Amino acid sequence: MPIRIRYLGLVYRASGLYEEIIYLDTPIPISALLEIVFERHPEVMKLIYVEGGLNPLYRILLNGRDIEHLEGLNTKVYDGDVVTFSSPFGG
Amino acid sequence: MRFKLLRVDLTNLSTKVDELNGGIIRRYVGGRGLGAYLALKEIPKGADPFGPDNKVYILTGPLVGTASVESGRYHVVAKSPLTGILGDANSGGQFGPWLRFSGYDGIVLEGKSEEPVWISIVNGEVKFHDAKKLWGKGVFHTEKIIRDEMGIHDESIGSILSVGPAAENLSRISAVMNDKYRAAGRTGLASVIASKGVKAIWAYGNRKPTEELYDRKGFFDEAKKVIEKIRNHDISKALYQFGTAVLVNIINEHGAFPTKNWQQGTFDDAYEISGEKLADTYLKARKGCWGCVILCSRVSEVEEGPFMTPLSEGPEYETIWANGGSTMISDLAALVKANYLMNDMGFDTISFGATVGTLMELYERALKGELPEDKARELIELAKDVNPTWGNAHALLQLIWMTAYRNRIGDYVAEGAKRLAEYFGYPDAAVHVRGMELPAYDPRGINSMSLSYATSNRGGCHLRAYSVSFDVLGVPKKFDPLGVDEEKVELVKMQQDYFAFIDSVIVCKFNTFSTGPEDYIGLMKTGLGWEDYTVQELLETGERIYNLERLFAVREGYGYQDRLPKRLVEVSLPDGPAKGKTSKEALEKYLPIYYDIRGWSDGKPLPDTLDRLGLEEFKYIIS
Ligand code: SF4
Repeated sequence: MPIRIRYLGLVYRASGLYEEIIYLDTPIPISALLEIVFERHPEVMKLIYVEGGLNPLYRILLNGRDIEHLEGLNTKVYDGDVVTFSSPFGG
Repeated sequence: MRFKLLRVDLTNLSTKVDELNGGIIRRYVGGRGLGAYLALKEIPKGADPFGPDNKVYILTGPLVGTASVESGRYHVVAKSPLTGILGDANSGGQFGPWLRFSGYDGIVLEGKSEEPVWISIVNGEVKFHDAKKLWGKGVFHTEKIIRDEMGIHDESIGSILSVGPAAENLSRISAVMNDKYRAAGRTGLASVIASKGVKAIWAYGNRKPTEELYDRKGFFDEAKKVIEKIRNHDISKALYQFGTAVLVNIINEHGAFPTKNWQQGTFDDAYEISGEKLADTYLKARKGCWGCVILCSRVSEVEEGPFMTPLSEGPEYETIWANGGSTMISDLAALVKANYLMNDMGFDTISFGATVGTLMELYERALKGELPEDKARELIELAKDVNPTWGNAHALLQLIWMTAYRNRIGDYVAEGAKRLAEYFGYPDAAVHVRGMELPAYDPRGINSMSLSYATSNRGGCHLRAYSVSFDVLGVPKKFDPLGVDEEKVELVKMQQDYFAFIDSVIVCKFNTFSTGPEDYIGLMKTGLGWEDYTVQELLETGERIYNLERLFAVREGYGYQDRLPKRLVEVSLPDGPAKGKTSKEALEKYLPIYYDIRGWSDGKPLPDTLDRLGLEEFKYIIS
């Protein structure tokens, strides 16, 4: 099952990609997806992982909803979902 | 501190200098606050924005040009021809510091000159120059001619504020321009300057505001701490890398990127016009305003093709959204070009793009027979050579010229979205608050923005309170952008008050992502000698300013009602994560709480509130 991953702003810089598709066999929680992403892109991990957890200025969205307002890292991703790594910003 | 105010009487081409005392500065600070105070006292009720009674306040603040924290800014205040109430706008670049270096902390333009003039201010000496040969010229050429005349071609020395052809032709969506690409964009105040016969102001001099500080050493120590905080913050780094355009994809992902004139919340081609794409294509350099350590400005160039554009500054997020998302134009090169031309003609790029989006909707409805028959016929006739259809980049570019010179349909676009939509018989196509076009965040997808927009004193604006920071980014605390939470109301009010201070002191708002009110206390104590200054006084000052602005609208008898356009409260988003949402529920919940916290009733300050803020002299307005 394909999951679309998007990397925005500083995460885009770190991954060198705007978007990629990761194929999963079964639905998995975001925490497991993070491991796959970090293995593919160690620079992303260096960027968004700080001592004690994820840097709160880097938000993770599932289909446009911040996972903090879903089930956090336990939120499961399913077939066709879009997971976005969002960057700090100002405007 | 004494504030040296140059009063320019355009009717008689004469000047005088007022020195404002420290008491006034402590209460209103400078910039936006001082402008609101003076405007409320000096601009008569009911004044015609284009008449001689209106005044334009071009003001710096006590931190401007002091090598402190991103203090290269100035503020413009006048009665707005777009909203009919108090207008104000802020700009970076270098003009603010150079105005102070020239010997004055602010300028007031009064009366009306019969012939066009430009004004030079050099070390306190003011001269009026014939501007007939500049009238009709774009901003870039105007600056070149003035620099030729002054014999200073190094653009880091001296600075020019000017208005473009859009303002000369009294477009209500024109921007005050400085240093070619920087704009005090909102509320159409450039046309007020032009209506007074002023084309440009040259500022140059050797005054050193830093030497006037109360405790220079202490001030530098304080400034260093704040600068380090700003420089090392992740948001500052992101702004440096991608500029504000990094927001295109982020806001689009949240379903709050107003698309097709607010008929959708997502744009399929967002990536094509994003900051990431810009960085990989036309971006040539990064740049900052005077004294900036963030450097959020872009320098772009399109080297070939139909949208070839010379090296120039921009585009920023709001410009890209208004001229791209709102119009569904997905060619980034076209947007770089449009930005360049809008700067040269002197447009507010937000209002311009938003008005073109409105025109595209009206045109589509005219073709479908959804406008009154006579209006549809007239619109099609006026616009047929432009063909303003969704995604048509050539139409956008053509409209910039046509609007600046008020040619055919451009004559109506020059009036802004509200008047355009009303004229063609479909007012709901204009998405505005108090007559000013809304910026690039759909409050149906970021619901705190419903309150921020509805209560924004200058009309639809994201810079009175940038509640996106807590609903999306989580600064200072993360909220669900779709969740209705009373705590957001207090934060919106706090931002409004804090930002009013920031616009008065004046520093860049991008500081506020990494600093808080407490960071400015040391600067005020050491810079101005206000040794007993506190966070509470700072926020109360902001609140005083916010109430003053509101009083201007109350006195005019309109513009104090806090409402959102029908499209946002009655029509739900059809797509994205906010699908099915309107702004109705959030606004209905937030507004009564907001009034309670503010001490207002139905949008009007209560007598006790004015007493508490020391605004007794304006109580006559609410009695
Ligand atoms: S952050 Fe951007 S807008 Fe603010 S002062 Fe720096 S360059 Fe200017």
